[in-house]
Amino acid sequence: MRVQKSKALVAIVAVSAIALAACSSSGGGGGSKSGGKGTLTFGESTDFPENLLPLISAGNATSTANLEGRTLDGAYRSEPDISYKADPDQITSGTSSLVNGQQVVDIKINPKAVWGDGQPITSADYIFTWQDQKSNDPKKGGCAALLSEVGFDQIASAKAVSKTEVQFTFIKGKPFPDWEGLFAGPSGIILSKHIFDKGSAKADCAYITKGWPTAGGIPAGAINGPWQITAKNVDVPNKTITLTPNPKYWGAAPKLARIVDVNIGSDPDTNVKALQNGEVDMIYPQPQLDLVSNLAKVSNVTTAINFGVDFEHLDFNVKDPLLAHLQIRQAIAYAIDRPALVKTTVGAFSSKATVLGNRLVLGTQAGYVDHSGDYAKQNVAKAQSLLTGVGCTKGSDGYYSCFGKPLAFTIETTQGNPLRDQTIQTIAAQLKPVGIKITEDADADIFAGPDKPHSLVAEGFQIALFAWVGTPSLSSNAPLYLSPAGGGKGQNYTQGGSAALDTVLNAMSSAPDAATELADANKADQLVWDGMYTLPLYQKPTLLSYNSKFKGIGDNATSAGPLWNSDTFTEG
Amino acid sequence: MTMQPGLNPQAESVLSDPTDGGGTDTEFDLPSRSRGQIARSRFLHSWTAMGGLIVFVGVVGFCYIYPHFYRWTWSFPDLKAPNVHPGQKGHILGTDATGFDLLAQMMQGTQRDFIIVVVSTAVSTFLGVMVGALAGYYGTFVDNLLMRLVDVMLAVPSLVILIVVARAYNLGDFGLALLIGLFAWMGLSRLIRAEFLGLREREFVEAAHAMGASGGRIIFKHLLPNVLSTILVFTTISAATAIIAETSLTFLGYGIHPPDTSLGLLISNGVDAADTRGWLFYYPGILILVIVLSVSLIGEGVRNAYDPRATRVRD
Amino acid sequence: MLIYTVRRFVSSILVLLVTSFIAFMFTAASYDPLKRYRAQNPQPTKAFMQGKEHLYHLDQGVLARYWDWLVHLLRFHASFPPVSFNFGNDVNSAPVSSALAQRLEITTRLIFAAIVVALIISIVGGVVSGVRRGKPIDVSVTFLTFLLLALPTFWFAALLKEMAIKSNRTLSTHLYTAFDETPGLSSYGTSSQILHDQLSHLILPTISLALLTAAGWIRYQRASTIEVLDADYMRLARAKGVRNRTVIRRHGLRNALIPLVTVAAIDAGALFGGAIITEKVYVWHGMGDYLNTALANEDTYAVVGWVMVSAIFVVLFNFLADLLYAAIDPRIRLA
Repeated sequence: MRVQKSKALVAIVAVSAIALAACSSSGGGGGSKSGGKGTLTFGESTDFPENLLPLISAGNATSTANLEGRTLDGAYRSEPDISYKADPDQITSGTSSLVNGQQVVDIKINPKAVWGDGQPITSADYIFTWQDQKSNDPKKGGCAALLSEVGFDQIASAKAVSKTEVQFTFIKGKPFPDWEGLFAGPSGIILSKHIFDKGSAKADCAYITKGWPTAGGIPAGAINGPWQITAKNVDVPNKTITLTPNPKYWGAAPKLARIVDVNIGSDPDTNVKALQNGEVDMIYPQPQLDLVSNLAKVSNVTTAINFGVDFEHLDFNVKDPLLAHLQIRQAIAYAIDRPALVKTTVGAFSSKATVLGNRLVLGTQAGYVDHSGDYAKQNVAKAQSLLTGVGCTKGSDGYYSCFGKPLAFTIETTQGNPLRDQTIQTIAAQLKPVGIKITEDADADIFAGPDKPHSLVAEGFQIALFAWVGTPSLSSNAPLYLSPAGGGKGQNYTQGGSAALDTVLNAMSSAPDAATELADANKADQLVWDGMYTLPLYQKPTLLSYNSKFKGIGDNATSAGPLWNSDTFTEG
Repeated sequence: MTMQPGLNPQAESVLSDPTDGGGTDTEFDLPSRSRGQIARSRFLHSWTAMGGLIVFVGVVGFCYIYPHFYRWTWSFPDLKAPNVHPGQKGHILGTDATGFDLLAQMMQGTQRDFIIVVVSTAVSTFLGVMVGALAGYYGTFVDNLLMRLVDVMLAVPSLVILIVVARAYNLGDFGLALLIGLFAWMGLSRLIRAEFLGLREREFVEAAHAMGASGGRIIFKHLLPNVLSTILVFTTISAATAIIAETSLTFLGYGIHPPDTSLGLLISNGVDAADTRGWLFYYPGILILVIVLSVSLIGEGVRNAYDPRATRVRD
Repeated sequence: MLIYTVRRFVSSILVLLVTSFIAFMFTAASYDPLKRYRAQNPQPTKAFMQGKEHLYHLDQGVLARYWDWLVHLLRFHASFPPVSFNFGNDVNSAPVSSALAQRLEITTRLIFAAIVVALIISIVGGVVSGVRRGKPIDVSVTFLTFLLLALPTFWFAALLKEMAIKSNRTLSTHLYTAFDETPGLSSYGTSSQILHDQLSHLILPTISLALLTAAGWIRYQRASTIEVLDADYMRLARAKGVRNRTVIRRHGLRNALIPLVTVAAIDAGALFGGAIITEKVYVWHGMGDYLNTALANEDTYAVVGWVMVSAIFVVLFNFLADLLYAAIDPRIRLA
């Protein structure tokens, strides 16, 4: 009796556990459209996309951009040299000219271009792309969910010259030098009118606000690239998305049968081992010393390290009683040995690493000028004389104190970023002999709201170390340096700035052509150096590593991501 | 005490607290030994337990004393010697990518973990004993209430609450230790309660009651000494658990953060370096292994000392 | 028995209620799911942030949010199953309960395999170690268990991974695999391919989790084996001249299994929350990974949903352990 009871219970437990386990083997077959042959598995190291619409915050993620490099195409493409280039499949020409002081952009659409559901791509779609994005201010009838209205808000009117030609006219006196960026992937996608047009501005906005939650894939009618993402190919629990060829694509079909995008996380060890073991064919993680040397040991793997659009920098809070003094900010900048810092951090895994001397135009970008001048080398004597000049005195412990306060600063940074930890600890060790005390605070709340005292927004920090992302669109840097009085939208955390700087930045945003814009950007950067509100350190490297049996893979360090030319990848 | 008829010495010894023994002499002129004394002698004669104790004290002592004589400090890197192999440029166990001396950091990490162990074990032992003792001694309503509290604490996945709180409030080592302790007392309280339930029916407790001793006095003076072995065994287990908890939390990114260091942080950082800079992976890992292993051996020694059956070889 | 079950059920509900309250208060009071939007350049508009605040219920008080969550917790249907959970939506506006159900499937595979393996290891190891007390085999098993108990999970898993990869390379085995299945296979593979694939992905995580789980259980099994061997009925059986092996098999083993079964049931319940570290090391997208993502997103509803599911399993398996105990050991009466 006793035995039977216990056996029955054990059996129940076992059976229910098996039943639970059995539920897992669902999912079905289903082949893919004939494209090329071969499967490339890409190990995504950031996050799993939450939304596939790149126009909204939820879709403004590296993972989304990587995935959609060749799914949602713009008229222009972000090239590896951080410039825009027209995509001949999408448009046959795109020009900008000044007519009576007004900028006129003329785009001729490739007549063969069609959406994934077979409908032709016409000038109406381009005009709609502008209309739907010209404002993100609900008070003006705009859609708050939109990430940015910059540029589109400077277009005065649009005209459909024909079904395949469209003309945009900008507001008089407000030309937009980065107009190509408005129609450049991965964020400047062309909106398909028959998908996005819901009849009213309000309904359109509701559609955009909801976006495309990842599980549902992208509607065929919105796809204009060689790959497509269908709901069937999104596996949310396994964090896997499979790209299959877009059957309606008019240009050259992808040479692979499919690309599998799986989230493998940022752990360097996992990344190497997944690649080494053939679980994934391509990885794009944050480079790290052991990762790089481990990859070098793996056979049949090609690795390329480049310097990307993220750059690390220090932000000085000019509202801090000590940092309010220009001389103290300058002294810190002189005291940091940036070449040595770069050598021990990013220089440890790439000999190409250099000190960054410009915040607006990056070292890998055309037109880069190093404005660091005197700051290019560590100058302890200069730093110390600047400190004595303001009235600081060196104490018996070897540290200065100024106006009765010890010259000690906390550098805030994010949690769990070994490169940043290393950077701050190296800076601390460099500044100690100079007489400046540095401590690190790895704060999970650095980007939190104003209620967290040490967040950037709350202005409760002294010095902060984090990264900004450079883009081909120089004008988008303006909000980071505009003074609070001059319309800085809350991202100039240093709260520094000057009227002269504001003037140059505003001129840059409405420069008539790219050359003027570049000159203004360089002028603005020089002014930031003079005011020493931020100190650029280095561009963050990117690491692309892939199984050598695949050909045609090359890094694109812009936000277009490593799959930017995935339609031309081949296996063999 | 005046002798009363009919009360022989044996009956007296039943009334007396078993752990209070040691003073009463018997008709044989042999020194009688209390349970604690027997256990102590057993412990001292177990080579595994003593080995564990010696290693533990040795390692921790070394990590507290040697930094005063060592030429490198844990908090400042040797910028001229990043990624140095063990033994080179005066770095006995090598350095990491920034130039921090591994030995100096391991010693500091051990100090950190020692504090975490002491604080968390103190907290969990105190809570476990108090809750278990109150529930076991008073029973009924108090027991019900406290045991439901234990149920809740056991149902809440403690690692998660640790993570949630550690992430939200950016704790230092002390806060982390407090938290680990706050979520590690439930097992002890159940054991103590069970033992108390049995003990409170015993004659010596009734006698103490009859003599008008207060509840507090009975708990602390008469009952607690009887569960000392349980407490001691739990303490060692919880010490080992605390170290593992610290390493796990730090590995997940919710524990100790730079610029501070801990054993958990060192081995978490070392995992990536296993193939390339092996010293960063193996040395801290082995140190943790040695520390936890020695604590476990001490614990096992205490358990065996109080419970001879566990080691008795079949005759 | 029935009364016991009912009483137990009611107190379990209370325990779960308190658990949910604690978890909700801790998370809701400190979490800021809007953090990630503030880090973006360009920064989202004020109106957008307000919209999100409303969407995440951040514009309500914490207690009001909890109440709101609580009253919507259970959904009743006319069809089967009659009741389902509704843990609210995560920060991506996806329902937490369906995501958890998917993750639970993945985690269950790992746990089920690991528990079966761990039970076999611990029964064999514990019984052998207990019967051969003090002999070299006992000493080595005991030493191994202590070693395993002293190892941080991820350090041990990393070691295993190192060895497996070396074996993959030199012996061309397929021991180490990341993930719970080959990525994307479910969208193009056949069901037998998928099954085979999922099984092969189980090997290393199972070994890793099973060994660490078994280390604790072996100690229990050894202790109870020793206890049973010393029991009077065993002495009697031996005295009657029954062969030692037969005594152990017929009388000893069953009784010695009782403590292990209950401990295993309780531990198994706790594992349903996901072997957080094992899942992270082997890149499994199970319950543990869900929690990690939810924590990183500061996602109150996802974290609380996770806590609830794992708490339900803990409570359920504790109850199961008591029932098992009573079923196996007739001296125990549940009342």
